[in-house]
Amino acid sequence: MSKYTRDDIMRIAREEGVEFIRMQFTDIFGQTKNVAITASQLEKALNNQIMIDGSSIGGFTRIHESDQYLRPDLDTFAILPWRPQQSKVARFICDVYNPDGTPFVGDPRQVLKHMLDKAAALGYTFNVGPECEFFLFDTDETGRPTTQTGDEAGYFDLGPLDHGESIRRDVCIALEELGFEIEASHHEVAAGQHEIDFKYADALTAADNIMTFKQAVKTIAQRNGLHATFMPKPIFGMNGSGMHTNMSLFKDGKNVFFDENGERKLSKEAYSFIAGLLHHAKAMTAVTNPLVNSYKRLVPGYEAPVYLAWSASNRSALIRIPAARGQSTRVELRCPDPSCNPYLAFAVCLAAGLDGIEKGMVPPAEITEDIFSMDQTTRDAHGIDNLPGTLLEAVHLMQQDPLIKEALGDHAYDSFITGKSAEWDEYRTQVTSWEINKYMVMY
Amino acid sequence: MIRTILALGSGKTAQTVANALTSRGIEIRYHCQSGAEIIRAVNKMGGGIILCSFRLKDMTADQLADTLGSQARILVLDKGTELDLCQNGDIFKMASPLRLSELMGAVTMLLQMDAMLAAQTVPKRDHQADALITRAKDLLAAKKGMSEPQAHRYLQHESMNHGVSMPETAQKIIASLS
Repeated sequence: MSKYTRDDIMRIAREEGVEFIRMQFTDIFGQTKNVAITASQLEKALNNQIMIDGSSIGGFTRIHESDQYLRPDLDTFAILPWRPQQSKVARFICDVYNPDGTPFVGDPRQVLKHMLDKAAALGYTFNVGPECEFFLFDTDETGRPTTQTGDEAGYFDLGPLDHGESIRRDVCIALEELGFEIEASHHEVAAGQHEIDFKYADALTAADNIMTFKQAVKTIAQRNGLHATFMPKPIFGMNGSGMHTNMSLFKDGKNVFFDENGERKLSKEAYSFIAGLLHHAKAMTAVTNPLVNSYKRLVPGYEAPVYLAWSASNRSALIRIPAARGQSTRVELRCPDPSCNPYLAFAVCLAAGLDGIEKGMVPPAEITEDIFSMDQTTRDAHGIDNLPGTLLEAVHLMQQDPLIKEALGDHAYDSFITGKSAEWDEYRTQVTSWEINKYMVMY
Repeated sequence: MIRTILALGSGKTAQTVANALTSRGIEIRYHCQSGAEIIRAVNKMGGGIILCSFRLKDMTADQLADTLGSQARILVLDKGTELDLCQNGDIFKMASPLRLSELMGAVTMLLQMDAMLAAQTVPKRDHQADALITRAKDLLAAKKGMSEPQAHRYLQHESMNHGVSMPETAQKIIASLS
């Protein structure tokens, strides 16, 4: 049942003195886009008549077929608590449609919806609980971000060591005003690094929540004179930021990963889901870890999960099964980072897991030892492969797995590959400070 | 505690103002270039007065005031044409060329306002209110066998439940137990 009707929204906007509405959507590369309208245009928005130029959005349409329409999801209507409380600002998260009324196939939100419909046809609901990490940095005298924090805290530390405590508190309060259920917030391992976890939800809501969360963190950090970044590895030699992704499938209200009589109290479906994730992990990586910089995090050590293994206990594996059982049984994929497009990331995770279930895949044996301490020979003996080491490698692997193309659809897939290939080309032609430092004097 | 932030750039005006303040014993706690630096400084100090130009490197004084709200007092020192752009009614303005006597008068006033803000604590009860509460506790101890902490919690609980102050609650208890 919908949370709001059209009449509810018109009434709330009037009663609350909303003067601006942001029609938000997400592009292929995970960036929030929006067009702001005044309250006088609200009815037009609710009639799905707000138009955008899709050719100006990366990965969307070409110039001669550029008109597209935003359809607001009424359930995402919210008044933004971090905007002025006189002349309030509200937002909708929107789907993108073609002029003929069909869903735009390149809209990441539609890509995920399409995948969720496939799961629903099999009787499944897909729930996701993300754990997003981020850094807070000072800005320089011109207001540009630095990598300085002035923060000396570490894992689970408190103020005064933890300078971001008040920002995390403000973010949690703002998100709770938006209806989030915040589960935890703490300082992470690296100085200036933080994590906020919110309760799991159906995958579409979880993806929407991640986009909202990122906006809240960035805005509130800026209001405190700091810069928040979800860049995976901003500082060499310090832990990077991940987005551990907890996933579960439900059928008829019951968690299908739980089996009271199963080994480790996990069901066959759980094991097949794990096997599907492992089987497609390398091809998925370009989507779950989409930046050049993502692969500076995915290196051994620093608690980064690069080895294709699973474990019910240890955090050195790509996939971990947290201890909770019953309705809380879940599979944790540890490689995604928060720069990913959550709609696309969840779509490929679901596709991989369902592929495992449909084919009755069986995962390899659980690895209980610390994989980080194994040498290559030992890892080979255990059959432990690893994730791609660069964005280029990840894109090539993505192109070799038809499941990823099927999950994303041709348009989103092609746009993504084109964009990422261009990004790699731009990166590889840069002359970096490392090269200058290494070679300038020597040669 | 003097909590002064200067953000006037690095030109002659900044130097003149800095010299004027320090020669009159007003310490400048932070020299800032950007609005973000100012915000961080205010957060560290818990408040302060800011002397700045209208345009900072990353924001205007209006935007700075919107972000800081009542946390800090802002005095914008700039040309008249720039001051005309300054819309926020809570910002104090002074047009250049500055007259130091007027500047120091304004700064002194702002420091007093800031000192009042910094000194704000939980309001202290007056002696009469204290006496009522003490009397009520004594009666609760004598008539109901409560210890002092129990009596205090009882007074707080009753006060919260009925939405009245503790002295008022104490008066009612005194009236009922006397």
